[in-house]
Amino acid sequence: MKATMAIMAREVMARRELLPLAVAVAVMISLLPFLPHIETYEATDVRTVASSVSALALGSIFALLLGATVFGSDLSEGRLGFFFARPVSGFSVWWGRVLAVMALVWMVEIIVLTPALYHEGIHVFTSSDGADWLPILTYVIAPLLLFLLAHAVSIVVRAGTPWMFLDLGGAIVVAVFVWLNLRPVFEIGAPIAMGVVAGALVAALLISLSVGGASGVAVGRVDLRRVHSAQSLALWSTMAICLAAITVYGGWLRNFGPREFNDVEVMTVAPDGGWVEAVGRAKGRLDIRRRYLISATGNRWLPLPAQSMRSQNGARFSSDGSAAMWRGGGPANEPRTLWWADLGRPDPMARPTSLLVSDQAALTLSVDGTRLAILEEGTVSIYELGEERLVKAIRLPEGLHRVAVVFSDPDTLRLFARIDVDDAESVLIAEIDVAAGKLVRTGVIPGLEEISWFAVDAGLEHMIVSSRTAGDLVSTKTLFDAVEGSFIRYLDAKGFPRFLRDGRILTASEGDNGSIEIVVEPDTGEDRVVHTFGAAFGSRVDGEAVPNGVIVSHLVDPTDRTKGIRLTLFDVDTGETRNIGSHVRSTARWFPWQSGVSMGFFWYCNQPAVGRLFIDQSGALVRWDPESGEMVHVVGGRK
Amino acid sequence: MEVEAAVKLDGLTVRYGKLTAVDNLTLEVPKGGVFALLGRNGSGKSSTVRCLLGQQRPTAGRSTILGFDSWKKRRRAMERVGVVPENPDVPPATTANRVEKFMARVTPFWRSANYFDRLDSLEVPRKERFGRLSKGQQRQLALALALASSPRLLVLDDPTLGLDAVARRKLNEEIVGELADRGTTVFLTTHDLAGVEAIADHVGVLHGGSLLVDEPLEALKARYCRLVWAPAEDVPQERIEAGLQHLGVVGTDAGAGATEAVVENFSELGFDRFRQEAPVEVMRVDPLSLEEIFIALCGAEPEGRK
Repeated sequence: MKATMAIMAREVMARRELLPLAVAVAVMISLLPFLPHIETYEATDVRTVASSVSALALGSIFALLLGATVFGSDLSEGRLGFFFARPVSGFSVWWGRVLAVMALVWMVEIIVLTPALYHEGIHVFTSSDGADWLPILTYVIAPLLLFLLAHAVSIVVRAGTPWMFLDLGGAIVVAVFVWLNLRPVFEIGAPIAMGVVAGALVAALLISLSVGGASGVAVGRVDLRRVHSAQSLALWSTMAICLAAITVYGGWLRNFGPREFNDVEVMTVAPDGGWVEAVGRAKGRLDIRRRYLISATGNRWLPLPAQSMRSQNGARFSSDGSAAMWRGGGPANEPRTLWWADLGRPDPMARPTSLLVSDQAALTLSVDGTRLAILEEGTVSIYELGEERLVKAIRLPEGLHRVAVVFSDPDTLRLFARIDVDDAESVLIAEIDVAAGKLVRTGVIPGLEEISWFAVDAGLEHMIVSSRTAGDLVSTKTLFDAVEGSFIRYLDAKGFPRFLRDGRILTASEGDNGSIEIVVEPDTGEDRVVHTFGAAFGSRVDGEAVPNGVIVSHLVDPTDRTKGIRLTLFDVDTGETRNIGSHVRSTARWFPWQSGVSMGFFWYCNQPAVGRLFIDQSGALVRWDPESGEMVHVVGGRK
Repeated sequence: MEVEAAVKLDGLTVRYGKLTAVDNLTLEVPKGGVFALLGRNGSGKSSTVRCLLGQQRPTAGRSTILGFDSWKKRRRAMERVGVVPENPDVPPATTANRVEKFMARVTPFWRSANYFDRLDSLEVPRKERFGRLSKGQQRQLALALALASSPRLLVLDDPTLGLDAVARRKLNEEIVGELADRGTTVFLTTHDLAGVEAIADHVGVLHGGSLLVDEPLEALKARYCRLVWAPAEDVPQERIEAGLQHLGVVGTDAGAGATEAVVENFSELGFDRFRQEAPVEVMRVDPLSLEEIFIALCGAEPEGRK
């Protein structure tokens, strides 16, 4: 240590000319705001920007220059023997000189930053996202990395031994490993994990270059060729160990199954059959989320490729829940392979198709999952999924937007789209005859302004459109014929109407004293049944868990949301209630997409399978079993 | 730790690719003497010195200094070793004063007074950068650095290179009169054969990486001599050659008035046998200088150099 410090002190003294240069730059930066043309800018900003850029630039340039010469020149000129003729170790020679150079470079950076530090204080080190450590790390790490890199390259170039082929090969392998490690995390869209892996790779580079440099000098001593061989051996063996560790760690980070989930988020639920698309995090896996198709009724799952949480391209299910499809992995904004799985089999397997679809394409499966419709760039293409055969491609008329298509049967597609008629928003309803390849317009709902959403019942007979005229706070809910678009009647404006499976309309609205008024009515509006669900803070109607039975949720403790939600099954015909559980964190209402055909502002229908799924307070996905009346754990949850 | 040999080389071999620079070199330098390792350029002297100083790992064999393995225990070994390299390697921007501060921190037995006294006596400027000093001054500074800590072993790699005649003599006198008297072992390589002849008590000659000679200088000089005899037409050449075999002839040179032969194993007995075998008129028997012996040994290109 004493020898290291002595060498460090000697080297600092030998290169102290750098410091007056840094002082000169700092003085120039201080005077910069007074220069013509620049005086119009805020003086503090000018100094801060000039100081930051100059500090990093000077630090990097000095690090590069010194890295290329401190050892390389002395070895070439036979001067390193001065140190090796003294009772000092090779590691002292290496670290003494490295520390000296870095101390000088860091001093240069601080001196150049002084004008900004004087005026702005420590805020100079605050990045745009408020992180204080990142700019400081940049000032500290970047010159060190450049120094070590320049040294290593300098030795390779000066020695010119055959070891350079190992260096070249090693550099290529490292580049490939960096790509292989970073790309999956990047595709998952996990910035924290990406930062950790990138940081680990930088650390690996620093460690390997340090070990390589130190070993080169300590083992090769004054012989440049032996310095090179020792450096290459140590550098690449250390790098191999580090990369192996990072690869193992990265693989462990990314690869975990639903059993390891702690917090589960349900993305899409099959209308029937019990399969869900869910993402989850696992303990120690930072912000990485894995996506799976999970059977809520059986102990089965299929891995799905990672995708950004912002992506709306989740899995799509057939209405009977027998098939699912999804986009494969790959770069965003590029066509990706379409995958599908026959969920009706006891052991469903993911299978790639020969079809490529873009992120913009909308996908719809027929009710039985045998046919697939792809809506892309104004064309609906229908495929036979088993044979991957194009059945028909139909070009849609111009002027349609927010188009949604849904199979009414394997040979017929129903189309709902918004069109502008006389500057008013309207809904176009049409039918596509797959065999004939024709689109037949069946109706139009004209004169709507600002459509919030619309929903269609399970039989595709009726639709509710929620729209609002400019300036109105309350939207109007109107019932239309889902084929011809003819007006049927207005629905109660204050509530939130939805279709039950049998086609009746359930509207829930807030009653007096915190109670919920639940109205169930047929499409005609006659024979309305009105129930009042007792006062319970935060009560809401959720999914239809069993035919004519909806889930009503409310807070266990109105003063403490952390105590969870209590669930009550409410029979819409009799008004009977049944407590089915508590300790629930969220219900189907919070699942982003509730069916296999949702698009934009389109809801298909109320799905029983959805209504039975909940996230409990531990973060686990749980299913209410109507037969046993019990909550069944599916996956996940903090242990 | 008391050891008999100050320097010990045991089967030292240095190869650079296919070239063998030093081939299975084994020698011992006893404590307290002045050992001169001689050889032509490229004979392997520098590689030997680098291995000896632990600056280069030998391909095979090992070297020890003061009982320490030069490669594995270099740091310990160098505590009592002074080194003057062939090309002084003090950092060029450093002054004598600055380098003294450094040396004082890393050298256990450093004596600043020794260092400065020597510099002052030789009028080497203390505040001038090393790179701006003359070659002679640079070498004097390197020598001052090597001697300041009163080393037990002084390794001099061609120390008189670049020194004027006065400085050379001063150095040689110091080695003989001062260092040897203090018990300091001197291991030197040099091309200044005349100078080393006056100070060395043991020499080794490297030729083509192999050690041709390793013996006390006096013994070496006693073995080698030049016979000069008058032409004798009545004595067959075969008899002369047979007689010279008793003396270990190295080479002969027939001139107009006399014939010369350099022999490497001169002895009274051998000389008598030569005269019995070849009754020629021996005009004189001349001793050889070290330089003449060296030329006789190394004048020809080495055979079988790998």
